[in-house]
Amino acid sequence: MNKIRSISRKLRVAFIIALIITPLLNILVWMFYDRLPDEISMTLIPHSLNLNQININPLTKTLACLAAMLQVGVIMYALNLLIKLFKNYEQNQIFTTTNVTYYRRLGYSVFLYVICDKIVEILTSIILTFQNPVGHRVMAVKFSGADLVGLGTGVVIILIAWIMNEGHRLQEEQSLTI
Amino acid sequence: MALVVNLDVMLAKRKMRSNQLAQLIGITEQNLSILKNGKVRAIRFTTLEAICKHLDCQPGDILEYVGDRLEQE
Repeated sequence: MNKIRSISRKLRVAFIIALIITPLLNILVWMFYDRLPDEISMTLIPHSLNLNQININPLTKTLACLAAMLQVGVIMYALNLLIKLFKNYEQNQIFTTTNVTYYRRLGYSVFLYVICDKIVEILTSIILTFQNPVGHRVMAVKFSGADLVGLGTGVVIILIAWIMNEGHRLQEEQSLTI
Repeated sequence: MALVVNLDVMLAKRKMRSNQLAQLIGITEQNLSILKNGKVRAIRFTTLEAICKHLDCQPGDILEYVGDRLEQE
């Protein structure tokens, strides 16, 4: 039990740091987009666009950053759930209904992340090309295997929540067996 | 539940206190209280055996099936 508590505490601290860093990192990468190496900057724009098609200026950078905040918000929500979950683990509350709820919400947040990823991709492609002449404006979205992996992960987490619920029921039964 | 735990009746008959019995059968007073209040989900044979041994009674003296009577009351 002590090991669970100690690892949970370390993970909770890591998630708190990630919660603070994630939005800052999003702002910083868009703020310094021009100075980033190509390998990183290419990951920020939709895959179906190339660098010649896009307009990078303070306005488009700000709008793209705001659009990305939608996805960052989901990440922050999931991190917040993880912080609460590991705080409960620290207090030896493992098979509880609250944790089951957190697990279920985590599963749904993975689904939401995949959906937001596509929305952000569409928005970013529009934002980065809306200043182009007519006929060169792009609205792009691409579905890949990674999206299916994301959806699969969401399903697995929801299933874990269901199993945790059964675990909670068994623990309650055990505690009421004299 | 259609089963009633008559432990408090047996305790009174034997003039024994709950904490004494809890100590004798090796369970906590809190667990004995859960048992007395009928909130218990299951009872181990070892616990029942220990209760019967120390109260000098039969399982039927502790547990009573009341059927629908309790719900009607």
